[in-house]
Amino acid sequence: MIDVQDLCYAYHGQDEDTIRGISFSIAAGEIFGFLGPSGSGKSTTQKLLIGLLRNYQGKLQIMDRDAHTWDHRLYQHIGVGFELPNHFSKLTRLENLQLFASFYGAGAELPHSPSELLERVGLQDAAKQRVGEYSKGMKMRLNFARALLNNPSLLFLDEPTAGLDPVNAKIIKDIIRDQQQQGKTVFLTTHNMHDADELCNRVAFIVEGELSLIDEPAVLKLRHGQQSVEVIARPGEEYTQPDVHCFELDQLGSNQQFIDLLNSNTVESIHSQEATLEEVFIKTTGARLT
Amino acid sequence: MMQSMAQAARILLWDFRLQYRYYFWTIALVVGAMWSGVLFALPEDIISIWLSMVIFADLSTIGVMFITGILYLERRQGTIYATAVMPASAGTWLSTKLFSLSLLCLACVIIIVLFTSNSVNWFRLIPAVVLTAATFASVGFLVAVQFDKLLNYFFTIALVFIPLNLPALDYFGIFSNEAMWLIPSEAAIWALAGSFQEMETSRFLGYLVLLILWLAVTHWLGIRAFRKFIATRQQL
Repeated sequence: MIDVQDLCYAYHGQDEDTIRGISFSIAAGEIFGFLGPSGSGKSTTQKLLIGLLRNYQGKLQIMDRDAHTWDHRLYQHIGVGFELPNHFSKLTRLENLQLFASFYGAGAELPHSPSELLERVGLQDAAKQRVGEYSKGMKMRLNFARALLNNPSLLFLDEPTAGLDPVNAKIIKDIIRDQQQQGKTVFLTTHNMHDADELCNRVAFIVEGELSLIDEPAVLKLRHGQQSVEVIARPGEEYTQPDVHCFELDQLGSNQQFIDLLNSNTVESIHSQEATLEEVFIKTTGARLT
Repeated sequence: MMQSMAQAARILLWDFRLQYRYYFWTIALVVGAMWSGVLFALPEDIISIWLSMVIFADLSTIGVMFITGILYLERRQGTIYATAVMPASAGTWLSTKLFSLSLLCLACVIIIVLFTSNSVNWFRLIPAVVLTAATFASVGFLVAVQFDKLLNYFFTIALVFIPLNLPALDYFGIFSNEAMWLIPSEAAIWALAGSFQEMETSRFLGYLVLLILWLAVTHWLGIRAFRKFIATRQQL
């Protein structure tokens, strides 16, 4: 779906490249997380992928066509969800979607009506309220609904759960998974490591215009974690300090101390010690996600 | 081709709706009524001289200010960045904006003329007004798109208006120079004047052709400016 080989890009008037020879491919039906701190080149890469920036060096193919050969008709096939809300404040949510739907075709030509999309993101009520009066979370859900208007086969989502409460964040994440099940490809740019871990088949870390790592979140967490489990047990009264034990995974089933602890009926929790995605990021890039 | 036309028509309808919702039509009609009130109080011989200049001033101001208003509004709300990833070309987006503003200006001019003049050639006035308004809106877009801050914009547009108003000197017979034809407002003023005064048809059509050329040039530059100052500065 997306093929990037040795991509370089420098903004006009700048000597140094902002993007420095990055390469990756994204298969159809994949959710690909693109992670990096502010100023690392995430937005520039996304602008290149969605055809807003040209004059790059290297190879960049979108939907099996060289990015140079696409014009505005690319946007018939892709959907872009922005990090910041962008709506006409004096129009209602339905009017906003109808306005942007008018770019794609007459209403009947769209696979999902604007009303259906509003219902999917939980914005079906108060249809006459103008968007200027909405909370940031409602505006973000409207952003997301707009990205789905044309039933795109390739979705670019920038921080799709930013500003959302856990219930609405789950609704959005469920829709993203649903899109994947329908065979859609998702390019997800986010700071939220938890979302990336939960949603992405693979993640890429970009720092200072270079990709430092691409892999599956589960593989990264295992590779960079400790091969052990942490057992928390509370042998005394409630509210007393619990004991924390650590056991190597190797030969864990025959570790008598571990078995004894399990049989003591004092165990409160057992956690494997794989790294978090954030720890992997910091460890491999030396940078923090800000 | 038919699909593009249908798309432009749908976008145009929404442009009108937005202009109404953001009170552009109210402002334009109030301004038109105010000009009518001022001109109505003047003697008819003075009106015949000043009417085309009043219309020119009204069109140039409304055309420039309203396109600036649209641009800053859409930038502040971020909607222009969402538009840049919609399947319409920058040319379609700009054309619908210029056309809808031209019709808004036409409504304003109709109010002015209905109450102040008995000797108007509507077949000349309508194309002259639409082309003048579209050209000035296009010039306004070219200037406004380059500035994020309104203060910087106002300073620059004030400088741009100085040469744009020079052809008024030619109209009133104060100063004339062949180089005036290099200013788009020269053709605009005389095309508007030709709607109220005797003028050979070929001469009037010549002014319209000049206006069309100016509109084509500024529109082409506007498309390039859209790509340079809006699409590539996308807020992601």
